[in-house]
Amino acid sequence: MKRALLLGGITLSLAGAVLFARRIPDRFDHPKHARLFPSCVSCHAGTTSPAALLPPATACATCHDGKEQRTVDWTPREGPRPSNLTFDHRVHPENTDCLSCHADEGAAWMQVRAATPTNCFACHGTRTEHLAQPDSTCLTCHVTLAQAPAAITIARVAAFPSPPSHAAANFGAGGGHGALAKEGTQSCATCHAQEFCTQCHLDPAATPTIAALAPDPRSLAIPVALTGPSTHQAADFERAHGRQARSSIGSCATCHAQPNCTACHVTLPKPAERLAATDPRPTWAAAGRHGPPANHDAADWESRHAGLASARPQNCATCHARSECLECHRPDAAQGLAGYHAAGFLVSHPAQAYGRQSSCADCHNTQSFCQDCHQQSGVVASSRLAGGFHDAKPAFALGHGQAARQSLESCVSCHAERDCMSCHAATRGRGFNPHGPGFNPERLKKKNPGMCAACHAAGSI
Amino acid sequence: MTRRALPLALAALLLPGLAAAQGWQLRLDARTQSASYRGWQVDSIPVGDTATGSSGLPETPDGYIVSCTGTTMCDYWRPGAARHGLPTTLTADAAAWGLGVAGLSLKLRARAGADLAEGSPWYGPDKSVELIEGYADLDRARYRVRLGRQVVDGRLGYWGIDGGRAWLRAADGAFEASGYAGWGLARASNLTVASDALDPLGDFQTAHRQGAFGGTAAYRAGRASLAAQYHREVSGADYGVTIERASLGGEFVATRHLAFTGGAIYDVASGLWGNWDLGASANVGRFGVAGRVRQYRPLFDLWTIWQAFSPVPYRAVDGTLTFRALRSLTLRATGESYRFAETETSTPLVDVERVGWRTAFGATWSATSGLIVDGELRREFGVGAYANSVQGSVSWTPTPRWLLRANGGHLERPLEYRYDVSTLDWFGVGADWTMDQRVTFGLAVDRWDETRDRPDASTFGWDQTRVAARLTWLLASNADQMRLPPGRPRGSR
Repeated sequence: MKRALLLGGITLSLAGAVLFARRIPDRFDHPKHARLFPSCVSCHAGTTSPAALLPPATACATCHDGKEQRTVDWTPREGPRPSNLTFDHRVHPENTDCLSCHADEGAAWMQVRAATPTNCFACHGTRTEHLAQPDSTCLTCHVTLAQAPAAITIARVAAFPSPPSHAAANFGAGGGHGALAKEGTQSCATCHAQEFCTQCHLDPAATPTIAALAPDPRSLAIPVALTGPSTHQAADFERAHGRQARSSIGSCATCHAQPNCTACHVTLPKPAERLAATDPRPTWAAAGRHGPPANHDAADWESRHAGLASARPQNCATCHARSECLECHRPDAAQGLAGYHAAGFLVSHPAQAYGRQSSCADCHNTQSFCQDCHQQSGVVASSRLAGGFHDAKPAFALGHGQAARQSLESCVSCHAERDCMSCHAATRGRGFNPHGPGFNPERLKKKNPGMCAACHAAGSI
Repeated sequence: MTRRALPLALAALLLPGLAAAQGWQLRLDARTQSASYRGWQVDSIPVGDTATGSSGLPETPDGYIVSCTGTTMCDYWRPGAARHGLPTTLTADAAAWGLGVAGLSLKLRARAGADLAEGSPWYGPDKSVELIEGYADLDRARYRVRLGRQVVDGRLGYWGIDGGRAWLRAADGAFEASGYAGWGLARASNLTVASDALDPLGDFQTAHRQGAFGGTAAYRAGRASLAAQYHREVSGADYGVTIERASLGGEFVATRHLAFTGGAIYDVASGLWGNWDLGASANVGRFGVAGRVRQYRPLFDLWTIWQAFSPVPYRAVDGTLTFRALRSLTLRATGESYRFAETETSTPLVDVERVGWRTAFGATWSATSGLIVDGELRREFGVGAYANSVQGSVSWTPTPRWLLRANGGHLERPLEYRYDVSTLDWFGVGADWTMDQRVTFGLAVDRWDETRDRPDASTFGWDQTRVAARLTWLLASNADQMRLPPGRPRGSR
């Protein structure tokens, strides 16, 4: 226990020492020198004159000469601290007391601190918090971002605080930020430049408030956190957006260009012809992409989509090119990866084929596909009708009629016409009549007499 | 013009256009897959050489059950040789536009394929390069014209033609009608009906291509839409009708939550109704419900004799229920019951099933971070064969560039007409890596272990480890490098 406490203590001590050692003072310790300086301007002459704002190192060396006091390493900053403030000590009213801005109320002499906006507002009779000020007042103290010195880096811009007005529900769309911008473009310019707006707005010239902004790429440091218009949040937006676009494509044009549409639509919808042809924002085409319609998530969509596709072919063509249909409907033998059929389908395919849960012939030519593979597998009746294959029904050859009429497509995946004609042909076979329900000899003969002639000698029908 | 000359001529016409276009897109997709199986081989043995085996049935001396339908010889099926294949394909999808004529574009989809394994046992067309589609398309607001090899799709299915098609549009696109004519291709194939590849059994075959023509019409008015199609093919030999079908289908969206669909195919050639269906789907809150009645009847081209054998339809009722139990969890259940129509046959020696049903229960959990877990239990009873299975899959997208997946399952598949209950266990893993917008690699490995329950060793064999690889490379002019949303069915996600 003692050892643990010892080790803990040492660890804490080392950690504390390290942390303490890293606390390098970044400013002059004003309270420590309170008795030495009767006024601020003795060191900060630049607040009232063209002299430097900070004292030279030689001023410190008066005391810190290495004998009475240790020397200090001090290099004054040249010029004012870089900021986007318009404030200049020299033009501020001369009678202003330094401590009214740089100290809290009632603080002791030289208990100073950096000026805060709250202190400014206190003197100027404003009781509103800094960021809650009306957006039109920003430029009272700040320059625009484009006018801000280069020392206002991208990192500092990214850390700019956001006013409460930006959190309003309709700020992104519905007139929120647009209305504010119309009220005071120059206030927006405190934090934003034209590049920020054109992340969404395609045509800055069409929006005077954006056109009035100066360009500054640092504005891209502030991420766009706007949500789309309320219409875009509706559950049925995917379905309804076409109608909305037809009625107000001008609104769409604010943010969208034709590539946003063609990210999903195979052919450009007619209303979209009024949108800009190109989109300079490379990420937008992908961002506008949405998932499939809700009916595509149906458990049996695979078997149901055919009816819809044939009823509304134009709808499918909205998102799908026909080559995609061919990916499944015209597969190739090397299709080993995720495809139409589930894993293990080859073994289960007799069940699917007999039951015709979906039509094999929609995608496969049953002769070149089924017969060819069965032939190579030895399943077909090659040169004669060999017995024994359908061994679960020993008399199958004598009673196959029902099975054949129910599953004729399965029969012909292994049997050639001559297998059946040897018994069923009227002329060259044994004359067992294969015709059953629905057979219309007159109609078939009229349509294609050649088919009849395969089993019936000419003139014998 | 020979069979090979037409595709080559089309390609020669299109390729210079592709080179001169201002906008273009070319997607190359290379795939290869190792696959293997062991089939059967029919054999015979003199009756005198057979003996009654332990199963109580006559067998060969080495244990294969025989069928003695004659007086001298018996037939039996023994395992064939193991076969291995390495089918490999390269598919090119090309499109070009900006050709100086507004609305003019060129499309080309071609595939080169070969089996890289010795013996080349794997399925494939009879040529190493095939033109799937290749056409010039002029699309204007009121009309559209397309010339070349193209697919005509609709409720009647997929038909390929070498010819032309023209559309007319009216009522601001709400009405669209088209007519087409050309030489037909065999259904669901890039081959003509005269191709040797369509006759693997050496059966009767027509020697002439078929002329194909037809038309479509579609009208869309607010919540309702209607589409009709007519397709006719005539033999190039005697001008007899080989295919003549018509279809009608429609959709009515009653409310945001309720829609009806339906349609039917009528085989004009035989005077029979083919497939038809009538269904409704509703989405209410967390529930999605769909139901349908339908008929399935196969229809055969009249250049074969099969339509005269009177295939009967089955009629089915199916339904689907989905329930979004949680934001990330969706449960689903599907079911279908079907019954074949009366066949008007009398087969007292062979009892054959006439009704069947199939059900599936599943759940999909879409966790955060791109993790999707799916499981499904399927139970069936059917005619000829059916399958019962339990299977699951996991897909994970750890980063936008990676898609990892694994799947596995257990399946039992009894046959009605043969002693051959098959049991399959499989497990597979795969990964897709999207290097950038243009290049995607895919790799998958699957292991299948199969057992067959037979009284002898006369079994088919699917035991194997499958390896599949894919490389997709998209080349395009600047504005068109985005991929389209995938149009894949549920099972492939």
